[in-house]
Amino acid sequence: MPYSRLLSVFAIAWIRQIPAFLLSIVAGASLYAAPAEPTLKAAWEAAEDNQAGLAYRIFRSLQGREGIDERERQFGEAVSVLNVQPRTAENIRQAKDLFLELLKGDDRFAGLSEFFLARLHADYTDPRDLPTAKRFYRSALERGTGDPVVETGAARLVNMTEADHPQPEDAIRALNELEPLASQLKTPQGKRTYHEAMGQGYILAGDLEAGLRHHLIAESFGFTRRQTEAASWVTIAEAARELRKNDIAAEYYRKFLAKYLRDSRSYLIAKKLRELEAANHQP
Amino acid sequence: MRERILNTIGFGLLAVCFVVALGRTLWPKPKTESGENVVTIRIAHWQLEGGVREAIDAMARAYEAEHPGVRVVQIPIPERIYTNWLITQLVGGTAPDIIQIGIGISDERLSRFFVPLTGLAEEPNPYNKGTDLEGIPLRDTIFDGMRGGYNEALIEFYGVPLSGTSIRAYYNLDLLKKVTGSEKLPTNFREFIELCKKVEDYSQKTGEILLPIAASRYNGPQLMERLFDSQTQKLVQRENPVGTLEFQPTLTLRRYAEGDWDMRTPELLSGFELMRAVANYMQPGFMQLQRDDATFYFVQGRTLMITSGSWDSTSIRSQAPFRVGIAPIPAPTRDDPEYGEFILGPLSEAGSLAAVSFGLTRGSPHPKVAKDFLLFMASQRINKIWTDVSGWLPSVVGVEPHPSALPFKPIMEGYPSGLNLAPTPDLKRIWATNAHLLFGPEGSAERFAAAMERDFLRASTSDLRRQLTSIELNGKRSDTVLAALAVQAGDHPDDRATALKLDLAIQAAATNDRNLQSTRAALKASEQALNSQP
Repeated sequence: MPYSRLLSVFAIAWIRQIPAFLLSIVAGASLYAAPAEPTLKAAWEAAEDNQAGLAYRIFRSLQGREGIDERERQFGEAVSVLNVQPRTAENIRQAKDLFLELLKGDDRFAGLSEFFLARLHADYTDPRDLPTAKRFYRSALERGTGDPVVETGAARLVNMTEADHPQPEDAIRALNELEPLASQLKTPQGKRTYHEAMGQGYILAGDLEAGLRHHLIAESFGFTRRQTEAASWVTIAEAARELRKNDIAAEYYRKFLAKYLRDSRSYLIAKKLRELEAANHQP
Repeated sequence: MRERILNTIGFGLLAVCFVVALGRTLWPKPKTESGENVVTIRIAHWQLEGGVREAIDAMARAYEAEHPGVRVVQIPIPERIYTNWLITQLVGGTAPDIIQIGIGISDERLSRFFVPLTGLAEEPNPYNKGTDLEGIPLRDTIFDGMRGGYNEALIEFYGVPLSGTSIRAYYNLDLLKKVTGSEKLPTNFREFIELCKKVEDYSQKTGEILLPIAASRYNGPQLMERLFDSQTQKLVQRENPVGTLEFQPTLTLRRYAEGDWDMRTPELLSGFELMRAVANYMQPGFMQLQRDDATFYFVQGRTLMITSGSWDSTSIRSQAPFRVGIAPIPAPTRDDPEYGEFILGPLSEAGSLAAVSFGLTRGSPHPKVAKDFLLFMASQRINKIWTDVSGWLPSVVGVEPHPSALPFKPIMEGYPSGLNLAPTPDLKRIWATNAHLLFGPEGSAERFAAAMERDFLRASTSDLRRQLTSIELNGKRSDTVLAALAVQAGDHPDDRATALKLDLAIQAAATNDRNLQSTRAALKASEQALNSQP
């Protein structure tokens, strides 16, 4: 008799768990499930949407599917597994193996893989392997892919080089050695980020002339990000003012005031512009 | 036998209950309220200050009047429990359709649970049709270009802001008249200090317990930061060789580690002196008091002045049994004989961001309606209702603030800010820990400077480490996005939206990489300086 009672208590306890169990399965499945019709497009959209985990599952589910570009799928798997949580050494190794495999080809995924191998060695491995990262950035640029993301490797090389040389004179010398990189760049985005980084590096190291030259080239390609544009225009104007290139300074102060009046620097810049104009009119 | 029957009945009843419960969960709930199909959308926020709930209610009722099939339910949540409540709702899948973004929403939660609004930001708001904002992208209809709703790390807009904010001094006009015989508010620091002295004299003469300034750990720093800021404006310009004309926290910390400035730099000592001079007119031990304590002091008529944000305006006015005057914080000016030397000028508020940002949750059962209500609230016509009912500043271009919000309009004719000595968690902590050495009866600028000097490098190093981790994470997160955009832009070269997004992502990633390197450089300098300390 007590056994039967005990059994019924257990049974009731189990039955009580069933709804929660079923609901958790439904909820878990809906959270985990890939879309009914997984496609590369859906995977890339998830990746673009900052949902690396979902993107990774879709890329994995497409493995061996007919009509799927396997190299694109592999590349997608590699770039998404980098951000699957938790970020483990095994995931990073998986990404690295996939990128290295993709290097064997000669399409856009080879160039992109080389760029992301550089990223992987620069920021994902512990400890960071900066010489290898620099080597991958350089060889990705040498491929001449014309891919804007690959070409941002030039700016990253500039930033890394600058960080290696805290003394201004050393930094200027090191930046000079990176001038030839400009010839390897084909896209406006690649050129813009490279010249912007060079401009900032030179100015921080105290070479205003070189800094201004690079900033003006970067600015000529135009910015779509407002904060970058505003910062670039102010830096150009300030460097030009210091170098007594008043026409350039006034031009960029005016551009700033025309577009960024709602900025905490606008009143100060208007004052600087007035002073510059007054100085220009003095006999 | 009897027991078996009872057990069978018990199991039977449980099975019935389970089936009914499952049915109620899985079957769609009846959408009928008074016989009609009604879509209900829920909007949650933490702004329990006076006027906000009424304003959201008014906007909701206006929407319902124009959209008969929709009901808008407001869920106000106290700030203290907002984070816990929010996480529970998001993870449990029961989050409202529209949620105020800010407290408790990390980048990870934002990307996982909220809908990016970048596409929406680039399109005109249909509810602005017939106004001077017709055809203009939504982001350009908000006074800050919608930067208040933009997430730099995720390279997406996630929120649509409804309001502007600023910090001002609130005065008890009745008390002012009683003490000075006039209702003239102080226009500069000297007049303000004179006024504080008069309040003390009046209190001594009459025996009435009165203090010049009500403060707390919330309000006190608002006033102190503004005063300290004034003393370090020139220092920031001097320590910024890149020529961006604004405070650069990471570079400033690196310069500290390299010995370019310290706690006894004249500008800083002057700022400490100034803060101590003003703290003498506040309640003793104000850093131990809560926000409500200070407000209570003020509305009880026991102090002449309190500083607070525009968000407290309606609450203070409705609670105070006296007339309230509002004016800018009386910081010293350049001609001040004691504190004028290091000042550029009044502080600019032109760059202030729009606030009270609302985002859409991914789990919303009615995303189209929720998005439509968001656009409705952010339209010129409805943002006018917002400012008129709440008494808060509007966020939409061309909307005239309600007369009660006019004193909070941003000061456009001003200069960039000075140095913020406590912008990050550990620096904030040592500031608060050592504050008694500045504000206490035995305190002094020198004692405070000595204590801050002792703790500053360790705290800034720890904050730089934290900052570095965060920047590294942003960089890693953006890698997957960059790759996705590069592939999609390559596949569809004529897709202008993807091309623009890729371009923005490239620029944001470049900025992040630059910040990464400058933070690493600052951290390296700080660690070296820390290791060389005796």
